[in-house]
Amino acid sequence: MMNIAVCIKSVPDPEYYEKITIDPESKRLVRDGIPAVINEADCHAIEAALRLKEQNGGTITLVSMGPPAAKEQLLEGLAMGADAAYLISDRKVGGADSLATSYTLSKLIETVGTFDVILTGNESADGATAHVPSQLGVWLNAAHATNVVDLYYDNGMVVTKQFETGRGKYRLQTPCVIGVTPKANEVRFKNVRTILEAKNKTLKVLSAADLKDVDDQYLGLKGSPSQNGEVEAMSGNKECKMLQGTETEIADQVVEIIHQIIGVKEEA
Amino acid sequence: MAKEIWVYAQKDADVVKELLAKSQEIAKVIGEYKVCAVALGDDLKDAKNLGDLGAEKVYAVEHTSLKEYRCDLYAKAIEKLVQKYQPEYFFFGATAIGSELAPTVVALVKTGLAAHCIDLRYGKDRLNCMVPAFGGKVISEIYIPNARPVMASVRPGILQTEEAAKYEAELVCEDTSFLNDETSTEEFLGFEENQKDTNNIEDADVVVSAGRGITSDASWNALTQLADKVDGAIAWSRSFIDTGRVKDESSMIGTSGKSVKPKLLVNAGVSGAAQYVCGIARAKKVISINKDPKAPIFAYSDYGVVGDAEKILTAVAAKL
Repeated sequence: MMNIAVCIKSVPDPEYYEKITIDPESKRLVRDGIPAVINEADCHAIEAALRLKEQNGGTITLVSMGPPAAKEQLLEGLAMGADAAYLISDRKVGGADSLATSYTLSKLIETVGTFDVILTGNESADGATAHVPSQLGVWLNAAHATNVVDLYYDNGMVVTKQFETGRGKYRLQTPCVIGVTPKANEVRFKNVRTILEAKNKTLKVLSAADLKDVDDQYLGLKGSPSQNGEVEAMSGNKECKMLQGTETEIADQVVEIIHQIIGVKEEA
Repeated sequence: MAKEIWVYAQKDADVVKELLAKSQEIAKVIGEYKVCAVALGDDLKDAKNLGDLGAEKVYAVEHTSLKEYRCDLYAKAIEKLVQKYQPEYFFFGATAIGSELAPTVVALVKTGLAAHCIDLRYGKDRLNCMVPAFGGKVISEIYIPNARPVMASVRPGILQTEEAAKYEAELVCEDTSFLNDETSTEEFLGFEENQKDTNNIEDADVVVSAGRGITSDASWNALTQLADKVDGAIAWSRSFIDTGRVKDESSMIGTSGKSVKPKLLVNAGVSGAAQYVCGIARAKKVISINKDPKAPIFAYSDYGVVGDAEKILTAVAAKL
């Protein structure tokens, strides 16, 4: 039997990122009207949990931190086949950077159960720090691995991590925290049974006061060593020479530029 | 607090050189800071050579248990070093190892970390770490006001720096006997190298890159034909993958893909989404073809062509 926790995050749908603007006065991001979805990598973490449960038996508990509306994404996770879901939603935990977020999630995990394996998406689409799996590992005093492209249980969790030059295989003692990438699996379609069952499963919203053994200094804004300054839109500053003329004339100019840069290639 | 800027010297990672050069620039601005490299491993006899890359001082943490990378032991060893010497700044390359090790160290020493930065700029009496967010749509300034060290992971192949000054580095060999008693929660089982990449976009002199505008077979054929004529590697944007023609992310340019530095980059049908242009900052000359005269890619290009990519590429390939 394997008790599995999966951390999920409700994020603005990446399909709509082009609609995000910056308020020229406040220099803050304007993301009104953009729908929320489960972070994509987290869906792969849920899928990985479903497969581990099929192979080893056990339970799947979803945990998340976010506004009350994030219940929607937890409900969707239950419809994917998870067994129970907990959301920590409280002003006291708001404004958190990755260190404070991972601390809060670690306390939520410790409050709602005892787990052998904790899965997360490797990174979120919005902030994309990819810090949370490693930091959760430290807070929970557990082994951890990120950038994981394959995972299974064999006397510990055997994970394959993707590095630049190749893939490394490690066996982690349990409990452990694993950052799952989309490469790890294909997410299955939801079936009617799990969708119908979802509404009858446990879905609880907790406040900071519900968390066990919390040290307030690590929560929220106060517990966040890093701060956000201004945001700016990306923009280029090259003086681009626009080539003019008919297609043939333009092609001639492009050929000349190519020759100037890389030289004329000798015909074999 | 030591007036030192540390760089994690991951073995064989090009980003170490970039970070040391950037650290020298920062040291000049803030004054009297020493740029130091931190090397871990089981055999560090060459660690002093990090002086050639710009390190004034090298901290060598050598122990048999550090032969293979294991996150928990590496992080513990680094934590100990940080507690002992208390550097003010500490930078990692945002490689797979750096992206795992840096947040682990941060959680152990309880400081702040800016992730996957594309630049580090000193201003307003603080170090501003420029971090792309929302898929690179915006760049956020992240700073760490109070906690120390200020930590950042920086994407490889993006920093633009002057050549670093070389040093005859001072070597500090740490006592690592505490590692004799440490057990790891990780067992290293093996490493399988990537298959040799025949289309290596990172080292190619010429790169021809496809964007969302390459929709037809004819335009794709024209692009591959041009690449063939100029011995160029073929790359693409995230949006091009979304069109379904290719799946492979190993030839993708951008913040979640690779950075290129060719003598010549030809962008065909690439609009220039922020996450893409982060990956082309070091291309020497850029020609872009796009049917939209307002496409952001032109602001990152030396030459621009407003027109049909298929027709232009075909005409150019025919003349080469």
